[in-house]
Amino acid sequence: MENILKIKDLTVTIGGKEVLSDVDLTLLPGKISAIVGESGSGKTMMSLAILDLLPDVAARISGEILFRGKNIFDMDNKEKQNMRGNSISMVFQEPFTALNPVMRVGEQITETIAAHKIISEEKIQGCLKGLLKMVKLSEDIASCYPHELSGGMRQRIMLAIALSCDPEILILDEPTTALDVSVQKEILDLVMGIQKERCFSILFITHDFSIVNMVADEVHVMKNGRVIEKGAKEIIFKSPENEYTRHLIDCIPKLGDERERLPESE
Amino acid sequence: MNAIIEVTDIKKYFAKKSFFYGAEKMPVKAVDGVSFTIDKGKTFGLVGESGSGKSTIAKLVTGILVPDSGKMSIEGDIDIVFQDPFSSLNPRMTIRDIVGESLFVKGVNREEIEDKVVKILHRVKMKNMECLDKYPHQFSGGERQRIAIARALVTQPDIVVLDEPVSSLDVSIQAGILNLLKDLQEELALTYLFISHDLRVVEFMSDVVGVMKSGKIVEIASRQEIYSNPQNEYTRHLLSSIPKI
Ligand SMILES: Nc1ncnc2c1ncn2[C@@H]1O[C@H](COP(=O)(O)OP(=O)(O)OP(=O)(O)O)[C@@H](O)[C@H]1O
Ligand SMILES: Nc1ncnc2c1ncn2[C@@H]1O[C@H](COP(=O)(O)OP(=O)(O)OP(=O)(O)O)[C@@H](O)[C@H]1O
Ligand SMILES: [Mg+2]
Ligand SMILES: [Mg+2]
Repeated sequence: MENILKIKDLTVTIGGKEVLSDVDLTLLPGKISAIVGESGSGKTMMSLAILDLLPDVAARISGEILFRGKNIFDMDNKEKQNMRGNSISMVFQEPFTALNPVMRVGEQITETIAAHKIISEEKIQGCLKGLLKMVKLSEDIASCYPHELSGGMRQRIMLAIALSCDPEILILDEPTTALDVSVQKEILDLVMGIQKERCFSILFITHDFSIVNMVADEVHVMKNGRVIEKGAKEIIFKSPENEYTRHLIDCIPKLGDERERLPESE
Repeated sequence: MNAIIEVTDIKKYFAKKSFFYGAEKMPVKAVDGVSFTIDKGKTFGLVGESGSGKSTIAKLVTGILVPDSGKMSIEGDIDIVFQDPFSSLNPRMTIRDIVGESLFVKGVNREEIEDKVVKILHRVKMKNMECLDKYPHQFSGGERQRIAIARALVTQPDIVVLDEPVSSLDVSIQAGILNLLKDLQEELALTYLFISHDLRVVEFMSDVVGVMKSGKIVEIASRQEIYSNPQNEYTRHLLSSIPKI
């Protein structure tokens, strides 16, 4: 199968420190790849690199990122805009900082709809209602400013915005960290439903192994800027080869856990 | 008895306008008659639906919001770790100053501040001391979350409100933070109000658990009772939704 996104030997440094080292990753059409790993291991940096949105202080020292075979570092501004606006959408880890604080969330959603489709105002309002319903929010939420919403509501607004355009790749960076298990399950089922239907690819960054188990086809484990293990989900769970992966699986608190303390690294 | 926090029938409503029709709508009853007590040295876990009022309770208890009605009595210093660490950390201050600020305000001398700041950052697994001179935007999401935890714990307040404190930490670092919170509680008899959407984490941490839905606590009981013998239908629904892995 032809890949839709391929990262080859990507190394990125910030202030002399390598935040990504020789990262390789392939995303196949219609598949969900999960990225788990240590806090600070470079997961967010990798997704920003895909959109060529690394902070100004970052220096790419080597590697390429091929989107449909074309190196994004060779694209001109117009191609990049098009890629960011139409082909790849991203839900950022901290929704509060990604949302515009002085604009009602309903308008923020309709703005993206209007930017992608030429349709009547009436239809846009219809789309908005549909999207809110999809992410299990009531219509009234549309009139709120971001600070008037709970953490989980803001996350769902971000998801609604990301789903409003028809992306080929959806990057989700810890998208459900504020959702209770019940709503989380409904939202994940929904995202997977839409993903199957429209057949796009998802890069799903999460620290939560139950989410990995629920959604992923493939898993990448990251530590210190490197992908230290990758493989099909079943294999990573059943017989992880890397010691850090085994340690991570050990650290998951289980329901009815008798342990007074959880295992820690170093 | 030994209650350090006593909250009786507090309410907080927010006004709301309609987006589609422009008319005034019913207020949002974010917290709608909530009561609980927390004993000294114990952890009260708060779980529940997204938007059910957990963060609003955190803000009421710490005095950031004022309740419309009801009574609260809180004995001792209280500090908070906000759900959204980025917006709660001053973007123009270095980590050294963010974590050390409240010690400085208390008149602690420079060397002691430096010592305490370094120690607490170590304990939240921020071991690279280059971080001291960096600004919040130069960290990852989980690193910011740990800086917020260090900031709240450095003064060793009697009570700490933790609003989703480990929500974006990998399970290994999360384990370290949960162990640290338990250790500090044992050493210093700290009292925690611990909010999380992760029912396994809440089970690991809490003595008493409250379950929230639509601004109300629908069930409140000891950890054992909640997890082995839940009475409320919503509690049962939540427990049954926990993934098996
Ligand atoms: N603007 C910046 N300047 C300097 N260093 C940075 C900057 N942004 C991030 N870093 C560093 O780069 C490393 C990777 O960060 P990244 O945000 O990709 O981690 P992550 O894997 O997403 O972690 P988390 O799970 O905690 O969100 C971290 O050590 C972080 O401190
Ligand atoms: N400043 C505000 N103005 C208006 N409404 C608000 C404000 N703060 C919170 N609300 C509303 O109060 C309700 C409860 O919000 P709260 O943040 O307490 O929920 P939560 O239980 O913490 O949810 P989550 O788990 O998603 O973080 C929500 O409906 C929210 O929209
Ligand atoms: Mg991140
Ligand atoms: Mg909240």
